[in-house]
Amino acid sequence: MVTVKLFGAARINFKDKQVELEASTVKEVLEKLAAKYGAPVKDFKQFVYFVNDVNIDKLKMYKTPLSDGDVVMVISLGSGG
Amino acid sequence: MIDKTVLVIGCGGLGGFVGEELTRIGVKNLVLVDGDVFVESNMNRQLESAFDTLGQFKAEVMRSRLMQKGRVNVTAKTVFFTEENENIVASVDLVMDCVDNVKTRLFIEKVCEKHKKILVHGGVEGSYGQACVCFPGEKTLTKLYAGAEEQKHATNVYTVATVASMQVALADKVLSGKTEEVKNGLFLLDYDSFEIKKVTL
Repeated sequence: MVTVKLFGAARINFKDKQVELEASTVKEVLEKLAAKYGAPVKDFKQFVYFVNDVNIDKLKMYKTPLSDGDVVMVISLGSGG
Repeated sequence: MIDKTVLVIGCGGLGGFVGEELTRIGVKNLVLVDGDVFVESNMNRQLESAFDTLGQFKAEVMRSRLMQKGRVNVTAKTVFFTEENENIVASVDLVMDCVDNVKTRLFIEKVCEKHKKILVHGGVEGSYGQACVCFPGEKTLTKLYAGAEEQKHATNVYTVATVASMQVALADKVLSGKTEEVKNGLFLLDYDSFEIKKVTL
């Protein structure tokens, strides 16, 4: 199981702070979140993903492998000022 | 005194507190840019909005207030930051991103990249916000906001004030040459869970 934490507009929009999922890649996390919240996968590509506090940009993007106990953060940056 | 010139783009929520705190830490020169005026809906979160400043230019109000609060030289430009005035960036030491939309943020980053200036970013949404330092060549905001949809959730004053303080703390590090301490970090504020968290960009 991996822990998925939602932050910012991701949390406001989907009304969840944290969910537990079975997923072996970040791509699978996106697919499972899309199914859980009834939204298309592309809606989840507007967010920034961090695995164990590291941007997936520095890892293998959506192909980043996940193991039991990993924490995936789904971050939507605030745009207001 | 910190003998530097800092450009604050946006003098609303974040910019109001950022200008206040840059003055209080002793920055010698500030340039404020904002073409907007105060309206009553700003009063829930914008420091210099008050009944006696409604209808006045935000940058000009901030300039006159800050001059009473510290030995700071303040220049106010009552225009929005565009291609027509982007050269303001060339003569400053540091730029503060305090605007309220993604499009302008990405334009500011582009101009800072062009002039090889460090940019301190801050953004807020509801009870959440973030701050980070963007170094030339890294295109940090362009990557972070790629594909992002503009959100418009009401933001309260304590979120704005805290993110502005995070920006000024980051700026203080940069101005004192301690850039390594803030490089590659994205600092997240979450008042829903009362957390401040650092993640690696």
